[in-house]
Amino acid sequence: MIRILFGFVILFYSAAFLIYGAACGGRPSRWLKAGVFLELGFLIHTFFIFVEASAAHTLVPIGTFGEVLIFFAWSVAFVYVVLLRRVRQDMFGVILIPFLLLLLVPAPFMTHGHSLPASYFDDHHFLIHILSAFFAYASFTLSAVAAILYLTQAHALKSKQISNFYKQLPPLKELERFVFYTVAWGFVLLLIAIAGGAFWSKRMVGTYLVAEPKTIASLLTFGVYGFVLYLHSASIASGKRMARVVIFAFMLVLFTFVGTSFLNNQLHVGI
Amino acid sequence: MTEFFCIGISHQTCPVELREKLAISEKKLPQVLGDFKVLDGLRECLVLSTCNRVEFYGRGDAATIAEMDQHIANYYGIAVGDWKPVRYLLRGQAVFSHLFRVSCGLESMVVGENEIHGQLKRAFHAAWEADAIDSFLYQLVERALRVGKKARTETHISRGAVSVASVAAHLAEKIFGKLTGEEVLIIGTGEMSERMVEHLMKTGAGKITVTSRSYERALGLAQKFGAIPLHYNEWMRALRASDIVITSTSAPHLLIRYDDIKPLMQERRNQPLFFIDISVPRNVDPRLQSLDDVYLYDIDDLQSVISSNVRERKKEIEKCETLIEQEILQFSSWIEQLQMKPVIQHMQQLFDEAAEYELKRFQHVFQGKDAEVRDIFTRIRKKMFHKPMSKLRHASKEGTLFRYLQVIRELFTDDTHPASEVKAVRSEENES
Repeated sequence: MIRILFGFVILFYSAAFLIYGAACGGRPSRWLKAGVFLELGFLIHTFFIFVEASAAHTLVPIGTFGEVLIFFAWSVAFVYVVLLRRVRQDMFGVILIPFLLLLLVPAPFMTHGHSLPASYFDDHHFLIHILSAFFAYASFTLSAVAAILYLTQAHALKSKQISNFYKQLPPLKELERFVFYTVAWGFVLLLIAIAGGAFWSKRMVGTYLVAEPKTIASLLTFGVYGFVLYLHSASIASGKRMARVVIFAFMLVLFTFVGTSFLNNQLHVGI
Repeated sequence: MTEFFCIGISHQTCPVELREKLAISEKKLPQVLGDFKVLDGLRECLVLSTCNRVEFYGRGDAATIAEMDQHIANYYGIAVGDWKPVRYLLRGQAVFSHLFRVSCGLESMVVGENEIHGQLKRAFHAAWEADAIDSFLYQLVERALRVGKKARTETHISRGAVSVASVAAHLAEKIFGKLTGEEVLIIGTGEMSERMVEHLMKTGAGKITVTSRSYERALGLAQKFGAIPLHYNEWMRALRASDIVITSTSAPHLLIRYDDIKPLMQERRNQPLFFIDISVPRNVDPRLQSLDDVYLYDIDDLQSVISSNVRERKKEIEKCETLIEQEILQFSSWIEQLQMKPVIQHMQQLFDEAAEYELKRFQHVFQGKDAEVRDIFTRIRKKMFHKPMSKLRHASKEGTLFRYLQVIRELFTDDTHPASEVKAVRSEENES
């Protein structure tokens, strides 16, 4: 049952990607259809997470590295489909879905890691910490997607390249707005995640701050995104420069989220 | 027998000098349409007059075309011998195809332009108001408008801007999105500047400032479009606050230099700045292109965007032609079905009369069973005509109805009264 569900998730996301591709190739009427397939894929993905969690007798199935990837892909889809429903751009699907598939396809083969103790989830601080961290990283992922699109659009306008792809891209100003909308969401969610994690670690190990690579990298990421927001709100920088800064900040997110998992973590084992 | 025809001139057949003289203003349309009513053989007519074409669509008998030519020549005050060589004449199905192509913008100077659709709508309305149009032409024009709309929604025939001003406005939207909050500075007040202001206004640009060496000209243009006039010596100050700068002057040197804009971009914190330089020689330093967040398009760049868009539109012609073919088939089928109606009615009438005759003859046999007999009669009639009717409908869809109708007419049309025909058959039977 779980395998079939997972197959359907891949199938729907792939179908959405193919339709997005057709829409990019000059059939704008297909944007809507692609959006429907993405939403259906997300619904099946949600059901899959629920079934997987029930089977593992946990609330958030993030025991193995593969499960983390699947849950992260779901978080990205959740932020895009639900949180950013009003401001989402059709063109995002073209980059977002391959990213989701990149996370999902190898996931079943990554079985290393071990499940978190069920007692962790008894503390609501832990649940808040886990969920808001995933959603924060998902928001930052989307901001990076928007920043890549910004640079692509800026390049197309600069080099005067006229193609169907260029015609489908959103205006630069809208992309910039989207970048900061997602950065702001991510920043707030990361703050909640850090605070939740701090309260939980105080209860678990008696201190608010655990000196381990993931915690330090998270604080650094939080600081960098805070700086990005400051640059934007104080109108110190904008345009391509800001897009590049956001992409750099996302590299840090990748390091915090994935890279530190290979370092010597204690509390963040498996995540 | 009536047929559709179209007499006209267009940009493909006639130079603009002549088209200008032959154009009929919208105000004059009712009078022109009213004048055509004196032609006996003309059942319906419509006049489509735009800057690219003047066309007279009509339906009438064969002699009407010659009368129309004479009438049009009289209207223009030229000899019919001078009119005929410059005009084209289309008849029958060629008219449907032509009108559908016109409506889709395939016959326009700029393929896929939208204006023709509105112009055809207005011509249709004028003909309707003047009571010059009846069911056939009404159907034809309505279908032309429908296929025109379909072509624009289902294909990309009208996608992509194809004028310098609209391309510039479109590019500005690609950078800034809706232009409501952006400030626009226009340097120069030529015809191009005027078109730019017009297009930017249409896209919702909020604040447009116009400057020129002659303040009066700047004032004139600003007043025409509700923009802000500016003295020429103040344009550099205005540029600092602008997001879009358009230069269209005859100055033979650079007005906007790299060294002025580089520090300005730092002041602007890299907020995008869009330059449109349609002056020849250029007024904006081409080196600005190398600055981050500065977008510079000169007239050649805009022309290349236009060429690319036109190429894209031309690729869509084939898709439009498929839509047009479908519509022609449907319209032809509709006309054939209308022709089918009297033939079928005649056949049914023959059957009814023969049956009535026989029923009267044998009334004494069926006495008291009138209702049952009528019922049987209706059922036989239905069964008898069901197959031929459905076959004819199918033939009308395939475009082969005309052949069937000809055979039916030959077989069933006769001047002799059906009853007498039946009598003749009866007498033949008695004799034998």
